[in-house]
Amino acid sequence: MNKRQPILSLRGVQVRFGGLLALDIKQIEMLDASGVSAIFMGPNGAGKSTLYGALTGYVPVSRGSRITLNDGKNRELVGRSRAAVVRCGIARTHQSPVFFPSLTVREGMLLSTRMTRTCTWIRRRLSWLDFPGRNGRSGRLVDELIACLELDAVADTRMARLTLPLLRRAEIGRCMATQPRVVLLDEPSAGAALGETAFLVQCLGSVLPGLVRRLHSEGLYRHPQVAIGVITHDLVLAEGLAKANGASPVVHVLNQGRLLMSASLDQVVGDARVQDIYLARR
Amino acid sequence: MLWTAGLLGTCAIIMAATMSPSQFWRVGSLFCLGLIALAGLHVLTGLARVISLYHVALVGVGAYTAGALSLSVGLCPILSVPAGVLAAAAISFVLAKLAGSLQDHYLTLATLAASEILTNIFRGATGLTGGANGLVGIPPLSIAGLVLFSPQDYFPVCAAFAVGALCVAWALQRSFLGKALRAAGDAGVLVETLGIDSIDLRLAGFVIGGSFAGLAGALAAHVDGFVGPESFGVDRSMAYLCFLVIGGLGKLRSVPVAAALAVIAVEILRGIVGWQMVILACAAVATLYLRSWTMPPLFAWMKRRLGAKAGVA
Repeated sequence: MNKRQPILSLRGVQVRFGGLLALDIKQIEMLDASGVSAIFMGPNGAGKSTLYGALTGYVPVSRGSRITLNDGKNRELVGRSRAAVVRCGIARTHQSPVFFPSLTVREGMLLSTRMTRTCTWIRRRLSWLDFPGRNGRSGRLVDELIACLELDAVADTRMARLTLPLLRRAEIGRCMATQPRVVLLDEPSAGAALGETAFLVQCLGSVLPGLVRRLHSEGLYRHPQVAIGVITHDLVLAEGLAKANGASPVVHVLNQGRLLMSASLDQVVGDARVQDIYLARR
Repeated sequence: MLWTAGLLGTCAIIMAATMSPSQFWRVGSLFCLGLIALAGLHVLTGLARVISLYHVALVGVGAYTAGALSLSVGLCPILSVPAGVLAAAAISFVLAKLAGSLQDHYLTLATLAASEILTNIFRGATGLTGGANGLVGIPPLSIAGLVLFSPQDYFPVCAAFAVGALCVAWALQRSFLGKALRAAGDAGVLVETLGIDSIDLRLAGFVIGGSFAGLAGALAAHVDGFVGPESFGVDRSMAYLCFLVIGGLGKLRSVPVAAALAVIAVEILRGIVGWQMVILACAAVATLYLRSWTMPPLFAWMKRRLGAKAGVA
């Protein structure tokens, strides 16, 4: 298997906000896996979300930065717009969920299926005049995702009426509906109750990757597997994900914009430097 | 839906009782033309939440294009009306392109500037637009040799176009494009998380809205036989926005309600020159206050008061 090949590689990625060097990564490789393959940790302000921003076109990176998506086409992501990055196959969630209050959960997900279809520019534009149907391939994909994320009860509710944990789930659904190769989740369990965290462990660890494999074999998903990256402070989530399905994700610890170490969760938790950073001993 | 129909029906009955038939059909036609223009504004402002202050100037572009073409080249209305639509859509396209990635208030300012530029062209380009005198003697609508001169004759045409515009707006609202525009109205550029280019999306919204405006203007030029620069100022665009807000921004019913308000307000507010905009603005603010989707503050306040009284008793 090509399981341990990097799916995303970053080389010399720098982000500057004025005089502040917010991100200075010499090299990070996110390994390919079916399921959670990378966990990003680090104290507040370490540059975790900035790293996501640089990966997905939200934050402009310095010249010379190189971010490559090794999905067979080896596409360079630097310089692409946010929408183009999504179409390349990288979807992300946000720390405070991005949602569309006047649309229902299902509508938002159906919208997401649209622009990542493999067809010509003009066909894609013409498809704007289509109606988001519940039948057809997009509809089936969305139905499967709704069932997987246990959003059935609120599928036809406007997002304005959803609670935060449900919004986060809806956002994951919206990401998955773009049929990504890589999903980057930003603190999916922040502010969630333990039950919600357990659900996320179950869902991200085994159910979602399994669903993607099945949908791919049915021709509903464009990639054979999805690699998931998670930013979290939540050790319950991290431990759960590290054990789930034997995927053994690599934990990348960031501090002050730099990569401190990449190792397994046990090694990271036991590492003296990491403890120093988190406990602000130094 | 039922409410809207009932309200509009009542208005129509009152008008029919108080007006002469020709006046009634004339006002009815104005209602239809306003409805077409407002359907365009509904797409741009109601769905995509772009506050456009040059919508009525676009109506003017349609009107002047159709009028000038039929006066100078002698184009028949069947060709001059599409020409007006195309001209307004083209101007809209150019503005959306020039505005680039401007957002929110900056975009609104750009539309304000566009409105001023267009009205100055209407007034200044004397050779093309007749300057302050406007264009006089535009031939009436005619279909296959049948000249529609009296209000009774051209009302069905206007009504047909209005119904068509409403149907298109309704279909659009349910299409991917309409939903995407709504998403853009909700989350702004973050609609790009769906893989949709927000600038392309907005471009589509501008062009569709502009086409509706151009259609309304071109028809109005032939219906009135006259186009003058006074009718297309930025104050009219602001009034249109107020009407849409009062009708319920973002809902399809806002379009006919706003069109009715536009006709009625012109009649009622005609006597109080100078106060029209003040009254409209107050009405719009009152509507927002009473029907804000987050929490109607007034109702909450009343509920608290009533609750306090009940507690004491």
